[in-house]
Amino acid sequence: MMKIARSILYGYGRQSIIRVIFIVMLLLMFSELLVFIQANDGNAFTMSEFAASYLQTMSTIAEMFIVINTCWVCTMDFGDKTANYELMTGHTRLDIYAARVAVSVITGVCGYFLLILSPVIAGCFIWSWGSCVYVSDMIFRWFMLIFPVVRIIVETAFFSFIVRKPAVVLIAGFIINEFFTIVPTNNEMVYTSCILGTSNLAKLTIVDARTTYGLSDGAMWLTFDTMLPKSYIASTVIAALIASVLFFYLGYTFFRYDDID
Amino acid sequence: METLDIVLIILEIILSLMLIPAAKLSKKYVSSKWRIVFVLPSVVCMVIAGFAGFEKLMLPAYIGAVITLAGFFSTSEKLRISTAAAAAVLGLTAVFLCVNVPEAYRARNFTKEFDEIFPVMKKYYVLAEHKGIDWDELYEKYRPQFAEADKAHSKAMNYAVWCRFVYEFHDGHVGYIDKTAMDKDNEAVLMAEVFDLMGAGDYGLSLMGNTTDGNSYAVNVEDSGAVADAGIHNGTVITSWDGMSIHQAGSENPFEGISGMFADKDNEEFFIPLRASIYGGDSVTVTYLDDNGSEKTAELPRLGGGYARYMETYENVCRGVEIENFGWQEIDEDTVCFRLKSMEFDTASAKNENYDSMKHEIIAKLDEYKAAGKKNLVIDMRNNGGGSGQLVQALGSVFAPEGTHYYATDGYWDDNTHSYARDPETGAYLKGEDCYFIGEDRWEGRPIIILVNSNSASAADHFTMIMRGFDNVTVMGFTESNGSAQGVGAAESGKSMLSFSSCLLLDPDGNVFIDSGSDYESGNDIDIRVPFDENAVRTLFDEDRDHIMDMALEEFQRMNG
Repeated sequence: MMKIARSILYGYGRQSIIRVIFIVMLLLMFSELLVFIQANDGNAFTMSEFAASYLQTMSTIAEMFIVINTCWVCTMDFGDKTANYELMTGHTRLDIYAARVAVSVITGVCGYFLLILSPVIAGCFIWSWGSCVYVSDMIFRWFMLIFPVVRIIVETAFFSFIVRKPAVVLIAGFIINEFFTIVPTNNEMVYTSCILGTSNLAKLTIVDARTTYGLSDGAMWLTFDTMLPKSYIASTVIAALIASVLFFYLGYTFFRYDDID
Repeated sequence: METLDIVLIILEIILSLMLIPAAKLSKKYVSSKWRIVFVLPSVVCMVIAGFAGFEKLMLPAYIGAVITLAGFFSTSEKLRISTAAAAAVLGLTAVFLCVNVPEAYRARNFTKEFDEIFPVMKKYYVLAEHKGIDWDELYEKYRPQFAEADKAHSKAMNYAVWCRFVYEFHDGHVGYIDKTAMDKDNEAVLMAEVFDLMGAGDYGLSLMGNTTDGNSYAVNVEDSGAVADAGIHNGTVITSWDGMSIHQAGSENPFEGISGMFADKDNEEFFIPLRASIYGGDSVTVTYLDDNGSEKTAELPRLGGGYARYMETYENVCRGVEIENFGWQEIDEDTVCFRLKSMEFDTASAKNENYDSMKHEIIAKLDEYKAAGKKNLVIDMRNNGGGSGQLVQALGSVFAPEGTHYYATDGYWDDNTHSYARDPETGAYLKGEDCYFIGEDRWEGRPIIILVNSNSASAADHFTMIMRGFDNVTVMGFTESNGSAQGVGAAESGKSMLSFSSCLLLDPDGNVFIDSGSDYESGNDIDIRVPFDENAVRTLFDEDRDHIMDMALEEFQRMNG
């Protein structure tokens, strides 16, 4: 499995399309930083405020990257029969499947965090971190994102192995999301439950802002409440583990019996 | 049922039924791709449930979707058909449950909402020590009550528990909002349910008056039925209610917090007779003085729920001049009234925190009335729930005597701890910047009477406080203003929202600005407390006139000799 993973990574590093997508998304992230700077024109701002208030926007963009990346990693070798050759050279289907999921997870998680952290780190060289959020609290929030991110990658890998056409997976995901934005519902759980990886991720990236103000000129202090209920932390971890294992197993079961052209 | 749940069940049943022929076809046309169709119900279920949220009554539908996965792992035709059929039956079972147990379907989790709001308030509420709040005790006391509301699936019970919880703080800024009843009509319906739940009754009259050293009067009396037959009318003195003194009946009943939130003991006392008049069983026995002064007794049957008459009386007693916010009205040839219903002028001023245009508008009006020979100004702040502190500064500068005047002091905010700093030895809050305003005396020292009531809160409290020390200013009302002056924050969970004091203001000595402490006495006194007497009853309830305004005009006459 390691050999396959290494060879996939070798090929991955030479694929210019993923690099282009990553760079475009990185530029989008930095444009968010510019938007933030523009919005605070003339007012003092800090990177802790940016990291907390723009986390959701940045995560939404980075989420697109991990889905595209997973589709690419899991399906690119079916087109040129690489996967067939791997089978013929004695690798098991489990090796072939697990290697691709593992590479998707590694590259996806690294890419996701590079995207959301790059503008924050770059900004910290110019502006200070500030006091809106404690660094340790923000690191914990970032750490929690690993669980739904891994889960989304494994789920996407499952669909990719079934469909084997990245464009179809992406379009299906887009249509599902659009459908649910137009369905009316009164339930406050929408988009915040742990049942779906995307809604779980969305909830974790919303950091509640709290403004404390006074009477004297400019007396206004912005802080972010990073406090997450323990029950939500637990359900995030549990849901991510169950979904990841389940979809990994479902994907493997399908691939094990599937005909490879 | 919610749209998404209906969609989920319909899709699950359709997909499950389609799996039955699919199971047969998969034997005829062998392909590994058939496995995919047996994943569909589970994926559809997960996606829709993810967007709609988990619902326990939908559990059979979720289980049904999961068992169709058996067809993914096994190619047995029998297993695939039986699990598909079972999934369809379980989908129908979910419909049956959701329709037949409507009170439990998508029921709100009141305890969870409390559990999420409580720690936020505990973390950010700035008056906990000042008011002697014991958080652990409060949590132990109220959490089981929310659990009871959950068991009963009762929104009214949840609201009632929040009202009692809120009441513990004696802080006008601590307030509960049920987001399903935010507009006035829905709130009134919910409040009426809460009153009914607590057993509040209507016995054909309300009571108002002074319970400690005066009389309680019948007001808003029904003009027919037992109460009219007994000869009770507006102004009749009621001496006992259902065998209790009026004070006892008004204070030893279950309506604390339900029937109003008062930050000051005096304001609470004022409404105790009103609270007494909704307390009783199927009937109440009242003792009263008839028109000849003889004590009599009458039994008054319960006519219905107590909310409508209670609110009617409350609103009549708390009435202000009915014109628009920042509106002006000539009261008599010498007096003009400036109405402030809230401390919010317009969105542009609020956004820029610049109230110059408001000042110019007020000054122009004052100049106009001065030129017309007006001598007296009434600033009607009754039912003014507050707003911007910057607006108060601007307003203060218009009316205050020339010179620099103290307003209040911000608490000292510590960026490192994300909280207000305290003296490590005494635990007292540390002072931040003092805040001042510059008086321009645009009314040129003429008399001003500020009218307040127990609903004049927050920035209205500020304005009353900064103005009442000036020689030409008199604060008047049945009661003093609310007595809640800190800045407000909020915590939300689900359909519940709780506001509370989260921005600290101090006085020049470093004590909490205005808000009452554990002594339940706020620091915003009143100059003239208008007694609620026979005269007030007649003016308000027989003549339908504004008694406080009448008293203000009398006071102007006295001032001007």
